[in-house]
Amino acid sequence: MMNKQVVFRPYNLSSPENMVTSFIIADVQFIDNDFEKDIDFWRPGIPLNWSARVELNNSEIIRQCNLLKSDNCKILISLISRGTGRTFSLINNIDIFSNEKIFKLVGKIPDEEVSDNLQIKIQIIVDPDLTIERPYGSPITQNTIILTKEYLLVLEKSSAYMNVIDEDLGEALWKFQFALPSDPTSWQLLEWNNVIQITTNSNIQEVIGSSVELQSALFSELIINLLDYIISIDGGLEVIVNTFESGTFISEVRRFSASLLQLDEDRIDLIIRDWQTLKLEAITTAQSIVHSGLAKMVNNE
Amino acid sequence: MNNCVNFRLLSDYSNRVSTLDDLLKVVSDGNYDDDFVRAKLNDRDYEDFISGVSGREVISNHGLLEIRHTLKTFIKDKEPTTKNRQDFDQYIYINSLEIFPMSVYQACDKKVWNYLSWYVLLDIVAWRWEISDIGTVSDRYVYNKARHVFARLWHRRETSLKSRYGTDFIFSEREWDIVYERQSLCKNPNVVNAIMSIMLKYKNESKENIVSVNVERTWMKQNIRLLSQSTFEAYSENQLNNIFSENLKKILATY
Repeated sequence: MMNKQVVFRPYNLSSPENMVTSFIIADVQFIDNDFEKDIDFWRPGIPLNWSARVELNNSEIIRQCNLLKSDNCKILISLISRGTGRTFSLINNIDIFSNEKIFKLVGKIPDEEVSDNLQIKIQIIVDPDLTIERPYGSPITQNTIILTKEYLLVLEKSSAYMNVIDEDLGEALWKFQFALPSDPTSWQLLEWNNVIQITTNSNIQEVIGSSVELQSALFSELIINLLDYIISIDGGLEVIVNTFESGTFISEVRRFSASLLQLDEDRIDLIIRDWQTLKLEAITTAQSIVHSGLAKMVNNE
Repeated sequence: MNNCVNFRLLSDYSNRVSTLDDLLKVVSDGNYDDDFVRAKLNDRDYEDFISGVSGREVISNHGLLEIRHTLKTFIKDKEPTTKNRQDFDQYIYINSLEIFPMSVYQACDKKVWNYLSWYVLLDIVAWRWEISDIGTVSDRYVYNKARHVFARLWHRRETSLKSRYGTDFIFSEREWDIVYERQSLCKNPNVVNAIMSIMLKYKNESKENIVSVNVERTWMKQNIRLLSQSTFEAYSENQLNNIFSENLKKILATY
């Protein structure tokens, strides 16, 4: 899985380091730059209580975003369930001009309303006072997001769902096996774990498990190879692009492709038009991530 | 939702596409009746025991046949005309949570809906959506939240229960699609309910619907534009209602 901390700053938004977060849900704790964790004990009916601790660098946020005393700032916690499509949120007003820097929020998700995974978003939002003239680039719309931290809690499926096994592969890092039926019209109901198998080298499994860079490389290589394979099957890519809802195979290929190629999931049809360019960009990005990861490992040694 | 039962023991053997084709043939041949369904329900091959919601009664074969009986009674002696089919949809929409008493968790499991629509209710599904042209009806037979014959109505009803404006959102498929085929909108009940209540108000006041005046695409684009710097979760249903109403007013003024 790619480590996803992409920051867009089209306006005078705050730097991510101005918010330090800790989020605890069902005894799983996410600390600041964590990204994804999973729990294997969760079953529907097990309550999902959560608590968040948010520490803000108020003065820097005020400076970077040109905030005024009359602006209304809020903390928004959103938990979005991929399986049920349900969103749960809690919003609290805060006075960013006070000395209070640490904010604590708690909540509970109703039983049996989530499945698959939970995307957790902690956001600082501002309602700017537009009666006062402000410097160019200041937030100018209601409820502008100026800071976001995101985590992912995988509730179900995890590695068994992705069909990852380990065995001794000698010098190879990993191996992918695709078992797709040759007729793409029969793909609609396929489940991912029935047609894709990922094997990681048991000799370096710990390294892969702890290195976000290597996981990114695995993910990139898997999706690039899979898309190449799908494209080689007549009509395959069209089925992936045009099937609205489906089994986990098509839905995950769509989701992973969109994530790797940085496309909106609704626009993965661009792959049909421009696969070679998108592929080169994805390989370049993956190489730079792996390169920085390897440099880090060497330096640590 | 109280009095839910556990539907999670049902499984459709999702990858066996040929099974659906075989079953559709039984329907076409006129052999898909109560006896056929009863025999299938007693056939253990069609059940797959997966871990479900604990501490809850599992739906019995008798319960499944009750669901079948309820729907069969409603369509008894009715020709599959457009009007009768619309009445059927309306009936399911209003009563879906009682007919299919399940939690959101279960209602988002395609195995449950596929099992129900294939092994218990397929002749009724075929009454509602003809099977002559499988290319155009397949997404009504296979679970997805926006289009499945029963699941789509269940989700619409369940979402509308959270509305401050009541639950009487009676729309055509095309009108429902305005929200339910846009993933960024339909995951937030406040957004769905704000849009639906505005559409209903417009329909009641002008006797036209948003689809017929051909502005829905522009309107939705304007509404989604809110996400460029913000998030729907930061707004209350009332605020969303005001913003979406203003957007619609502006578009209709130039229309």
